[in-house]
Amino acid sequence: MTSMASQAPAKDAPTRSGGLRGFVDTYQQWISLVMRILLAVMWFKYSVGKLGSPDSNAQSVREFRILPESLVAPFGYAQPYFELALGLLLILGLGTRLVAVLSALLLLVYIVGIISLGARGIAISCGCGGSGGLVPKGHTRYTLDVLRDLLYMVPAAWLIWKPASKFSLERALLGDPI
Amino acid sequence: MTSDGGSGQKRQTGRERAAEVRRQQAAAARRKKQLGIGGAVAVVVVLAVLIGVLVQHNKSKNDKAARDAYGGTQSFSAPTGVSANPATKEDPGGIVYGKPEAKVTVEVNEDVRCPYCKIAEGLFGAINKEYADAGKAKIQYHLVDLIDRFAGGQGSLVGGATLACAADAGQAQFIAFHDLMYKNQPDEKDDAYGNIDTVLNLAGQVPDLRGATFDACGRDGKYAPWIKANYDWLSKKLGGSVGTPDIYIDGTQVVLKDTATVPAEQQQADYRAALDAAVAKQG
Repeated sequence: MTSMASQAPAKDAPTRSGGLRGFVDTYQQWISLVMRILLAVMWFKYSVGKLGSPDSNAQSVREFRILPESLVAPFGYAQPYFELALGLLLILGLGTRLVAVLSALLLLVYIVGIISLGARGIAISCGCGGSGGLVPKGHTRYTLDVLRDLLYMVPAAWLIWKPASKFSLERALLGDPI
Repeated sequence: MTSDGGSGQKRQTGRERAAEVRRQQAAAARRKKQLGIGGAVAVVVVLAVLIGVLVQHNKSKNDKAARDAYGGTQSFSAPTGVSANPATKEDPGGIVYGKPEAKVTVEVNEDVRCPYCKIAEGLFGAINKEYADAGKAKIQYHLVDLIDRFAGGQGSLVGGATLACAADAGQAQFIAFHDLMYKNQPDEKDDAYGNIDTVLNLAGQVPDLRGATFDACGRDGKYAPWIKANYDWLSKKLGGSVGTPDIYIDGTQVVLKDTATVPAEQQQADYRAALDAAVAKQG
């Protein structure tokens, strides 16, 4: 990922236009900081529920009936740690755009997975936000689950667009602009 | 580079060139740092994945070791009065409630740790008891350790094996303890029944159950091999994909439906109707 250069921060472009655009230009780095924290908190929340019981998470993965059995356990075992690493990197502000891209891709995997459950009529409570398990038909909340993950796409997309932010390690290393 | 320009312009070109070189050097340094950051991110992510797989694999192995330790030295034996005679590892039989000569057979394959088994028990448990007590049907309870195998822990095994010990004391003790275990069932994620003391304390509420024999049976995991054999038996019967609760009235499967879609009263009425039909058919 070498394309980390992005828009110059506000102080290099003091052309203050009014309205939303002006607000975004002026506070972009602060907004990006908030987005970083939001996305990081989401990943921590996703991760913590799965750390405790490896078999339980592997079972949640298995219930999606997408991965072959040989990949179920490795994916189920690695998943919470991968999420944890993304959260950690976001808090540090290291490689923000790359991490945001990885976050968006992982969220996309979750969204596609949940939609495919609905399409195949498999009734489980999706383990994405914590722990999953079989539920009776009609008790699924796929629409809500998809909406929630789509909502989390917002900070990821913002950070891909404007990764430069306050209090980030990469800004300390590289200086402005990022 | 033409040389017909003024000397001033030449100097400027020189300055520009120097500035260009500095810019290029700065850009190269930035690129190097950016590559470094990208590399660091990749290393963190890959390490996290590797550590995750190792740590979780290890945890999973420990879970299984704990499970194997309970009743691990016991050889296979079945509780008193199971449906199979003789009970073997291949055909371990279910614990019978009701008169063995009752014509209609209700087979209940369940896991004391499974939340949907609790729902099924809440819907059909009392009806089963009613028909068994009236001598119209006998219930065969096959206890398995499904949740342990997939969610980790050993509550299905310890809880189930100790419940099986109650069958040695008698049908009344077994069914009372059976009711009690489902009424007090912990959350699926909470492995409370994996603790033998918790299970024995619960058994203390059942009249004429606890005693030296029962406690030893529970602590030693006497019927742990019977639980595991029942899992293998059920897995074979269902073609490898075990789900609980799995209920049959004279061989016809009863599917537990979501009470939000099919009201509890409706499901209970259907269940009674199926039992009555089976009773009528058997004459």
